[in-house]
Amino acid sequence: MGVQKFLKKHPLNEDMALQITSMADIFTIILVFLLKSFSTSVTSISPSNDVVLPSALNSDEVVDSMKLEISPSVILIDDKPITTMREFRFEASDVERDGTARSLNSTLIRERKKRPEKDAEGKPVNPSQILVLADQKTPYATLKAVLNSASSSGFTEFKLVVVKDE
Amino acid sequence: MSSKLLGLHSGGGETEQDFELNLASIIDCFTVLITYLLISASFLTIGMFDVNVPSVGPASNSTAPTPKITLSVKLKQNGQLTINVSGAAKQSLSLSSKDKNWDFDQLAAQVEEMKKKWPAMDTAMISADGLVEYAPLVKAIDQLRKHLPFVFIGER
Repeated sequence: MGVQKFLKKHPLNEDMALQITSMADIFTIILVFLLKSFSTSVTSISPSNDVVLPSALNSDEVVDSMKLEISPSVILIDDKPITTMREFRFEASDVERDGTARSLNSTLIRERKKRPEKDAEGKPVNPSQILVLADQKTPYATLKAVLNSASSSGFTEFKLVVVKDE
Repeated sequence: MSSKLLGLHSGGGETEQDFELNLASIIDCFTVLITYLLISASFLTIGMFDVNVPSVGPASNSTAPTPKITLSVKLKQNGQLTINVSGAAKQSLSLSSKDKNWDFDQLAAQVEEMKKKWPAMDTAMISADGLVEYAPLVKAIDQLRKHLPFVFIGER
């Protein structure tokens, strides 16, 4: 009854005007926030969907280099799948006597030879540096085998990629 | 005169100009920009550790000098941490697990104490049992790096 009385006094307008002014205000605020947090760092390191990086409190600055990613099912180098695994274990047909993977060894040797001393802009680049993005559940044995492969192929500087724990 | 030219006087002016801001186009631009920024935004802060690996192959290939005092830490599957000091000084100790997990706080305290005792110690070797996961290894390296600049993964 009260509602009907109210509607008689204030009939509904069929044309509802969209309050664009308020929407513009909200969009401006959201846009300013996103622009402020937009990262313009040199490196955009994003691990694969099935890789969860471990966290750490202290870390060094981020640099750009070749990426070696260890996920439960595959090892990727610069986002290209190189070695397949099952739950972090190499395929039996791919394992060498020292526990490393043959496919990984050959690819790392090839990649190391290809690495230039300078980048496209002429700035010196460390060709023996490699970024390791390993899932937090990677067993030590697998990690050790991968690092040994990289070390044997000529990579001497390893950077373990972690998530900053703040 | 000027007001006539501008058509600012009210009532009866032939050249009144009402300018309304067209917000629809601005909203379109904002929508596209916000969508792009949301898709490309990364809400994770990435960091990196410098680590080394002991040389694989003949010892003659190694050009780095052998450190005088080396700290070796091993993470055992049962949650124990064994710490060995080798080189010019010798010490061994074992840290028991805390709630079936590795006690990294105690590790940090022990390393700090050892660093005070042997200021020349700047190298740590960290290893673990085969099935120990990467996450606790990173936590241990995190603690070691607070006092020791050079961390090697593996055993000599």
